[in-house]
Amino acid sequence: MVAELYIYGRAFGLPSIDPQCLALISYLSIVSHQEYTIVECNDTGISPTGELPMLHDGKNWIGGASRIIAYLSKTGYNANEDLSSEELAKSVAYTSLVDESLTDALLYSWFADSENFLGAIRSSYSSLFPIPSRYILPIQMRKAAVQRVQKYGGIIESGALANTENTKVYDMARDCYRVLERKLGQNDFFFGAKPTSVDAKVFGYLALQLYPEIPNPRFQMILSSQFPRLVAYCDRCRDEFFANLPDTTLPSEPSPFFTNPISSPKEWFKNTFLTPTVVTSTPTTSSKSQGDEKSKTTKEERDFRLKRVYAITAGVVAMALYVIMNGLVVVGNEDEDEEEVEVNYTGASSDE
Amino acid sequence: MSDREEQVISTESEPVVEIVEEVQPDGSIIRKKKTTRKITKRVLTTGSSTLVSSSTNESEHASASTTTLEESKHELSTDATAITTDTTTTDTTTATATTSTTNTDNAGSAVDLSVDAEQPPSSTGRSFKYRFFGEGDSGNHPFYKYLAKFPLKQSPAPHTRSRPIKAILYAYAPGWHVGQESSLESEKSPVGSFDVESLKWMSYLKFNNIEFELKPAFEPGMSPSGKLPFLALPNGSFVTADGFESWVQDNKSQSAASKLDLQEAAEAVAFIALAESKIHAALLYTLWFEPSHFHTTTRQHYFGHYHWILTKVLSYMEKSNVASSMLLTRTQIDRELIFEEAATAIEALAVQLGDKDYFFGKSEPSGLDAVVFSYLHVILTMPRIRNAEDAGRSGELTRIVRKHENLFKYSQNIWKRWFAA
Repeated sequence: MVAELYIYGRAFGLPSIDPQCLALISYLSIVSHQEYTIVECNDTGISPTGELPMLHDGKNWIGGASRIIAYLSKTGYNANEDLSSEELAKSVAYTSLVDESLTDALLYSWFADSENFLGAIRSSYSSLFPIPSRYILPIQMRKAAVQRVQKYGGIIESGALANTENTKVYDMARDCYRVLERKLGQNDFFFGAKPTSVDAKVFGYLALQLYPEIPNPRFQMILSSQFPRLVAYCDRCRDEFFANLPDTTLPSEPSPFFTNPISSPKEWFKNTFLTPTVVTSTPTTSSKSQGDEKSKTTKEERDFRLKRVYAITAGVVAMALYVIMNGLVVVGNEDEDEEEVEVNYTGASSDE
Repeated sequence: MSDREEQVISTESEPVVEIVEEVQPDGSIIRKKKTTRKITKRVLTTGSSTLVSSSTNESEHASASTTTLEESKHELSTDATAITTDTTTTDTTTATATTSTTNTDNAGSAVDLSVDAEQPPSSTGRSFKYRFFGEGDSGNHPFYKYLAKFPLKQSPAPHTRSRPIKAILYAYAPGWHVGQESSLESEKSPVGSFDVESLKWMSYLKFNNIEFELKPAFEPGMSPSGKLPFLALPNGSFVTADGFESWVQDNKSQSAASKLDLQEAAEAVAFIALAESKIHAALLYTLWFEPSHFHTTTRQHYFGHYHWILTKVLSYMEKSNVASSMLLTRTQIDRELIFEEAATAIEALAVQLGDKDYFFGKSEPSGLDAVVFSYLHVILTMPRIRNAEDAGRSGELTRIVRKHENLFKYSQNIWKRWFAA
């Protein structure tokens, strides 16, 4: 069957808001043409590793960009076939450099900079998510991102002057851009005339730093003023990779992984109530015989569901008890309560 | 005595000082203070300072105080006194000196003071005395008499620390207690480290021919940045991770580590990033999350100098720190993926190195060599653990490195040339 790529949805005029997803789209457009479809799902809960992009090729569910690229190279979609072993070594090194430095730079400019986060990023992310998680997830993402870029100094409040903020992260990004530009040289792509996996990765990050219109586009300014060759490279890549994207479709089958009701209520509702049979009969990655598998999983699942019911009931009962015992909600007649209060009050005052 | 009582009351109120500068016809400037309150305060202090100094000679002292009183009254009538700040301070010191020594030859000093006492001593010294001993004769106070039995003596310092002549590197040291160095040797002069960051600093300093003295340290809190290693310089300043690179560049000798050209420098940056992300993750996993390593070697090396209870508690705290730091860059700690990536990274390094002595075929090591060597050396000299429960899991990273003979030789050669000699 046709492989499906699950990604974060589109934003800023790009197919996806996430650098890893962009990298994967680029990679797939390098190695295969129109052999896959894109599913904009925006829910990390459906992925086995809790991250998007995720690839589903009929029998395997693979989460995470590096795992997917490794899997695709093994199954015949290898963008690095033409590279010598030395070039391959270099490509590994550049990939890890990009993963470290450019991720930090992107997270810093998007989440640590309040002006950008409040002005553009939060609204772009929340337009992707359904109602309850729309208000929760962007804040959570920001928390995680700020923790990661803490080493460059914390959050910049909006309205802070440009010259008072520290320049550590910009120096770091500039170093990285310089390295990339030197490596690129006069070539069309990093290793000659044909794009490879490094190009996919680098473009995924650079595109999101270069194209979006955000209130404080420091990296865009650095790129367009000091690294014109990288800008030209990005334009070239955009024409090359995003020229004829496959259509976005709905997922052909629901994910077998646990979906929580907050991040994707529709998915969860469907999985839990509407299609219980589909969930149980979803083919898994293991290659055991079907019948054996089925009876085993159903027994386990029955057990699991029973326990879930117990847990939820216990939780609700505990909650109710807590509420009643602490007097948050008083059960009984209103008048009686008032009288009791009065008696207590007068008693206390007479003591004094 | 009635004068003194008045004066006590007047000190409670704050003196309002008005300074007027007048230029005399001969060119000198006379500063004048105009305030009645100020003058009564002055009178008060005259009384108090004579009070302190007089312990036996009551009558003389009384007369002295009255003379000063007259003087100040005279000043009151003219409303002007020329004073300088310098004389004020000296006066203060004399007043306090008499307070502390409680001398007995007061006849002369009392007269001296009464002459000096035109200037006001500081109000704090006086108020302290009043607060604790009232306005009675404090020289006779039993507390002062008692204190006089214990005069303060100053002895010369028995030991003064000499300034270090070369930079001192405080770092985790020495290395794992297996392999190249014997325990006897390491006690005399510690070499190497089991901590990658420390070893990185050592090799970088050695490669740049910078002399330093290594002091084993196990307490990250002693560093200004909260992280080991750090350098203490002879001039009293410290170098932490932030300024290390630039400090080395400023202080290295000319003939030191080889220069890379632009293209090579760019590639070196990429390979350093590779080692510090992928191999680092695998090493952290091996040290902290393989139970056999964690419970024996890691815990003992990082926290072994504490009491065993603290060792346990602190090592678990550090383990959770490591876990959260690893989770910043990934969604889950997946052993299989981490080791797969580490294997790819190590293979990339092996291919890049080839059969040369140092990276990029140089004759002298560079910064990239310092990083790669530190990782390889720590991994290769890690204690081997053999038990059934572990089943070779903890040695996986070492085995991955040992697959590449050139990396093993490379690490060994650097150790022999720069450290073991």
